[in-house]
Amino acid sequence: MSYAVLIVDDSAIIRQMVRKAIAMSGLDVGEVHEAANGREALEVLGKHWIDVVLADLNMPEMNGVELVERMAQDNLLVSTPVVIVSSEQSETRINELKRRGVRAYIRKPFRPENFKEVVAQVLGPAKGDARAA
Amino acid sequence: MRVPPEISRELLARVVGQTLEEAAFVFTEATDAPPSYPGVVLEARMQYAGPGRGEVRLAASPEVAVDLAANLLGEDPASPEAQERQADAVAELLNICCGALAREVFGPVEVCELSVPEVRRLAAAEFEDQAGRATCRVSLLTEEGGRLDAAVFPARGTRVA
Repeated sequence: MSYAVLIVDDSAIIRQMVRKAIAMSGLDVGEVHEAANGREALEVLGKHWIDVVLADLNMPEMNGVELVERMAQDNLLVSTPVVIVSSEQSETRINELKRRGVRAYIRKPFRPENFKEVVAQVLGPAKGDARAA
Repeated sequence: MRVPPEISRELLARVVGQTLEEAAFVFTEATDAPPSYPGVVLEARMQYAGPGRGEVRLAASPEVAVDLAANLLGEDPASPEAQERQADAVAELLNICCGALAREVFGPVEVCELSVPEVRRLAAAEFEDQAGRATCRVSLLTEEGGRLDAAVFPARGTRVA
């Protein structure tokens, strides 16, 4: 069964790059939604079933940390895994994000295999990897 | 008392060069005699605040910016996507540079807040005037001879080697 992804980044070029990377990764991707910040992401999450959220940290209006906090307060969204895709490299910040419920972290610049490995780890190989089915 | 971190021209050139190479497959060399920018310069700016504060800037000619966008997207430079995303490409590469620079300068543990990058179009003369006030600056040339510039404007109290 394919899964639905939500890409959250204020940079249109990064959203395109993530789309291409997950398409090339071998993951069984179905619907791919996009949002330019946390507020838009919550709107998408309110309308569509999303299996995994791939979110940047630094965004205008609502950043990635605020998005994670809002999702954690929502009974319907609290179990939706969030993977942060960011240029952040501080170990302190990354550990803090994981304490807040972020499931995994992908550092920019990324490669398709980064998504394959992390999404399979977060969702489980049977769902995350098309070739594992 | 915390010793202010140092940002050197060599460190800036290395971090920006590695980022361009890893993210956009563009190979660069630092130069002391860069060619003049023809006309317009695209410049991304981003503030940082951690153990030190300041602003980092990354600039490129529109032609180089289109090549960067094309490489990031895996598209032809003549494609509408590459043309449309040239400013985005400079902004995002600066974002990645800042993350790497913060780790190099402040270490892997310190937290450094980064702002959302902003891109401006400047006339070449205006760019040179502003870049000349940078405390730390490096010009880079691509293999095709295209020019990029990176500069750091630390707030008072941050030393530059």
